[in-house]
Amino acid sequence: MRDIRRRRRRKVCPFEADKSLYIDYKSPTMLKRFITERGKIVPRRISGVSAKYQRQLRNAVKRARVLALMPYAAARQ
Amino acid sequence: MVLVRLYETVFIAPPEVDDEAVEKLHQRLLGALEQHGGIELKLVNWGKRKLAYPIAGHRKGTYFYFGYMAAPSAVAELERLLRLSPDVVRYLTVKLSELKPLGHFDIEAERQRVEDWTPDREEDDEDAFLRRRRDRR
Repeated sequence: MRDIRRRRRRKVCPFEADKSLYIDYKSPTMLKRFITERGKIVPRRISGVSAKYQRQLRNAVKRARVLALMPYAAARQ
Repeated sequence: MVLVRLYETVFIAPPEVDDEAVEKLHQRLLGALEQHGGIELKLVNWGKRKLAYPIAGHRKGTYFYFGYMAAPSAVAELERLLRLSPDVVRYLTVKLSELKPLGHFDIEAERQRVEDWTPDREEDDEDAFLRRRRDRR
């Protein structure tokens, strides 16, 4: 009855779209695209990353945090 | 037949470590590797970087990458040495392969991979200062 559906562009997993994007805990600049300003990992419902790559991403971010390449929590700007 | 894995250990030294202390630690790591029948790929200095959060009172650290092939028992010994060293504030070891006979690995290719890898790095305040000084000339 009520039509509240809105047309949305289907999200494409950036890692499946670009095979050269390699997930590595040693590349914080690449990982940075997938964390918020506060340093949280962006949920895949927002970023569109597929489950397979979100798992790898999660582990990479956690490793990068141990080595202080990325923050556990960042102060708000 | 010895079964080994490819491992990499990244460790962080205080920003002001001198080369002598690093060399001493390197020799100690090599000694432990030898005892366990491991082979070193390379110890690479990634240079000084800003830490995302302070560790042991340091805001910056000197990063080192140590790649090697060894039996799992070697990792415990290497990590013990890193833990005891005053020149290491943080370390992380990552498995890169499954257990395989030593002959299975192409040592030269792996060494090349380690050498070719350069970590990305964002410019920090110190870099910016140095760059501005260079540009002015």
